Amino acid sequence: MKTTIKKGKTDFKLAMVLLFPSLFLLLLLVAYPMFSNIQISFFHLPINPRLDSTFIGLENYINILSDIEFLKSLGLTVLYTALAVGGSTVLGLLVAIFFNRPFMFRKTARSLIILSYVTPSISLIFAWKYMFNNSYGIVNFLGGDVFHLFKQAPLWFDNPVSSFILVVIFAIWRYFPYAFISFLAILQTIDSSLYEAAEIDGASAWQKFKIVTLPAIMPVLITVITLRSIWLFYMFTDVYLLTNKVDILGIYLYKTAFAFNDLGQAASISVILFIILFIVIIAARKRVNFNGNG
Amino acid sequence: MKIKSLSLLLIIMFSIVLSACGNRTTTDDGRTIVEFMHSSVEQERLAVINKLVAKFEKENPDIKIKQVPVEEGNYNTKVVTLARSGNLPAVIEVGNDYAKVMEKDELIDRKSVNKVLDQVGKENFYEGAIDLLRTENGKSYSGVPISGWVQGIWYNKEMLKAKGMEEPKNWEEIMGVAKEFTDKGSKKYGIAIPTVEGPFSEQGFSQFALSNNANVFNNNGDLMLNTPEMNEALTYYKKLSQYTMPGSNDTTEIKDAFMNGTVPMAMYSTYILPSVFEEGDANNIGYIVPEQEQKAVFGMVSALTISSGLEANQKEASEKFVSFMSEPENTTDWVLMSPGGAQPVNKQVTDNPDYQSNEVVKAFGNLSTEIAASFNDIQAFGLVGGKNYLKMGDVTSSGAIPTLINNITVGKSGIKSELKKAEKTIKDALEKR
Repeated sequence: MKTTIKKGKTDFKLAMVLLFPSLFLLLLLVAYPMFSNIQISFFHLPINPRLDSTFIGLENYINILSDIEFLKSLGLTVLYTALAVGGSTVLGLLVAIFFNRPFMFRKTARSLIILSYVTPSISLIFAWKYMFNNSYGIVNFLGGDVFHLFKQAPLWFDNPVSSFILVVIFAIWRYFPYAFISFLAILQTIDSSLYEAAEIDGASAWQKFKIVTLPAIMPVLITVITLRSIWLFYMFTDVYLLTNKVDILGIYLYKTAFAFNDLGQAASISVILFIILFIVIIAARKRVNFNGNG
Repeated sequence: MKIKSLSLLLIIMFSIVLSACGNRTTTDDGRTIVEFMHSSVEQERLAVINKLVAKFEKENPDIKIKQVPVEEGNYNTKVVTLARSGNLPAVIEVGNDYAKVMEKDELIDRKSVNKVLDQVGKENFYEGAIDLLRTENGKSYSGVPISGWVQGIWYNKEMLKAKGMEEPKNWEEIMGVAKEFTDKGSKKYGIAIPTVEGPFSEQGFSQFALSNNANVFNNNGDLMLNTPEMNEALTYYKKLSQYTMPGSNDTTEIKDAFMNGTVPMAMYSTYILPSVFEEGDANNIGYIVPEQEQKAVFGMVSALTISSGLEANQKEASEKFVSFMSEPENTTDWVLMSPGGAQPVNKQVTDNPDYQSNEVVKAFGNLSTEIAASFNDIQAFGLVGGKNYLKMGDVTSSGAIPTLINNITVGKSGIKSELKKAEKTIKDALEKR
C-alpha cells in the first residue's frame, strides 16, 4: 500500500514537470486573452490606455442584445453557417464516395479537387468578383450576350439576396475539399466485405449507404461538421471581401471594434458568440453520439 | 503544496513574459530608440526609407530609428491595438482622417507637432493641405504633412476631341459629356463615378456637395445634412449615375473602365497617373474639378505625427526625426517613392530640382503643376470655417453617407427617404460618442 502511494506521488511530480510548458503556454496564449476579453466587455474602454476606463456593468451586453442589427446579423450567420456547412459536407461526401474507386488519373483528379481549398482566399475572391462583375464579368457575358438568359444583366453582388446566395455557394465550393479529404480517408478503411454481404442480402445503394457507410464515417462526419461550423460561424474575410451586402456576425464585430473603436462592445459580442457556439456544439455532440446511433 | 509551488512559478513566468512585452526606450549602447510606423512595405519603398533613416542616424548618432512597416489594409487596426497595449510607436505616418481618431483619444502630442511645424515653417505648405490637419479648435495641428493626393475628374483628351467636345468645367457640362458618350447597348458609358457602399463614394460625392456649399456640419458644429443644397447635389449625383457603369463601382471598376476606354471621364485620385504613364498616355489625360457655386477638390494628406506619453528623451528625438523628414530634399525622396500618385504638399518640394526632373513628373508637364495647385482648393466634409470637427470621424465610421449614395444610385431609392435614414443613422452615431 505504501509503495503504491509513493509511486503515485512520483508520477504526479513528473507529470507536473512535463505538463508545465503546455500549461504555461495555455495560460499565456489562451487563458489570459480570454479573461482579459471578458473583463474588457464590462468597460467603456478608450484606445488610449492612459485615459480612464469606465466600468459600465452589463451595458455593453444590453446594447448588443437589444440592437436589431445584431439580431438580424445573428440570424443571417446561423443561416449562412447551416447552408454552407450542410452544402460543403454533402458535396464533400458525394465526391469522396465517387472517388473511392479505381479509375485512370485518380491521383491527378484528387489533387485538382483540393485546389479551391489550398489556393489563397484573396486570389479566389478576386476571381469571383471579376467573374460576376456587372460590366465585364464572364457570367453576365455568357448569360446575357451568348445564351440570352436575361435582358438586363443582374447586379449579383449588389442585391442582398443574390449576394447571400453567392457567398454561400462560394463557401461550399471553397471548403468542400476539406470534407472530401476527411471522408475519403475514412471510406478507404471500410472493409469491402461489408458491402458484399449487404449486396447478398439484397440491399439497395441507399440501404448500403445507410447501414454500412454512414455508421463507419459518423465520427469523421461529426468532427467535420463541428469544426466547419465553428470556422464558418466566425467567418469574416471571404464575405467582407466579396460583398458589403451580407453583414454576418464577423463583419458586425469588426465594424463595431475597429470602425467605431468600441472595444468594450466588441469584446461583449465575442463573449456572446462564444456562449452561443458553445451551447450549440455541446447540444449537437450530446444529440449524436460517436457510434452513429444518434 | 506542490500545486501551490507550480501555480506560483507559472504566475512569476507569466508576469515576466508580459512585462517583457513593453517597449524599450534605449539601446544597450545608450542610444534613444524612436519607433517609426509607416505603411511602405514594398522593397523599393523600404530601400528609400532605409536610406533616409541611415542619413538621419549618421547626423544623430545618439538616436536609433526602429522601423515598424505595416501593410495599409491593417494599418488602422494596428494603431488601435498598439495604442491600447501602450506600445504605440513614437512617430507614426497617419492620414488626415485617422489623425482625427487619434486626436479624439489624445494619442497625439500636439505641442511636439506644433513645435516641429514652427521649425519647418507652416507657410511652406499648401493651405488646403495643412488645413486638413487642423484640430477642432482650429488653433493647432495633428501632424506634419509629408505628402498627399487629390481626387478629381480625369478625362481622355483624344476621346473628347473625336466628338468635338471641349474640357467640361461645371456640373452642366460634365453631365453633357457623360450623356453624349453613353451607349449602354455597346457597354460604353460617359463617366465612371463611385457608387459603392464604401468610403470612396463619400469621397467622390463630397466634391459635388461641397462645390454646391453643402457640408455635413455648419459653423457651430450642428448637423446640416438635410438641406436644399445637399438635396440638389444628391439629385445631380443620382442623375449623373445614369451615365456610369451599372452596379457598385469601387476603385477597381473605375480605374479599369477609364484605362480600357469604356469611359472618357473618371473620378479618381492621382494614383491613376502611374498607370497612365506606364501606358505611355501621359499627354492624353486632363484633370478637372467639379464646379458649381465654387471649386471643391477632395484630397487626403499623409502626415508624420508624434504620439503622446513619450519620455523626454524619446520626445526630443522624435521631434528631431520628424523635423529631418520634413526637410525639402528628404520629403522629395519620400514623395518620389510613388511619383505621380503621391503629390507634394510642401511648395519647396514642388520647386525641388530632383522632383521636377523626375521622368514621371516631367511626362505630365503642366498637369503636375495644376495638380499641385489644386491642393489650395481642398475641401472636406466636417471642415468648416477653419475648424475640423472630430465628430466627422464618427459620421464616416457610421457608413451613413456611402449607404445613402449606394441606395439612391444602385438601389434607385428616393432621395428624401434615404436622406432621412442617413440623418437618423448619423444622429444615433453622434449620440453614442
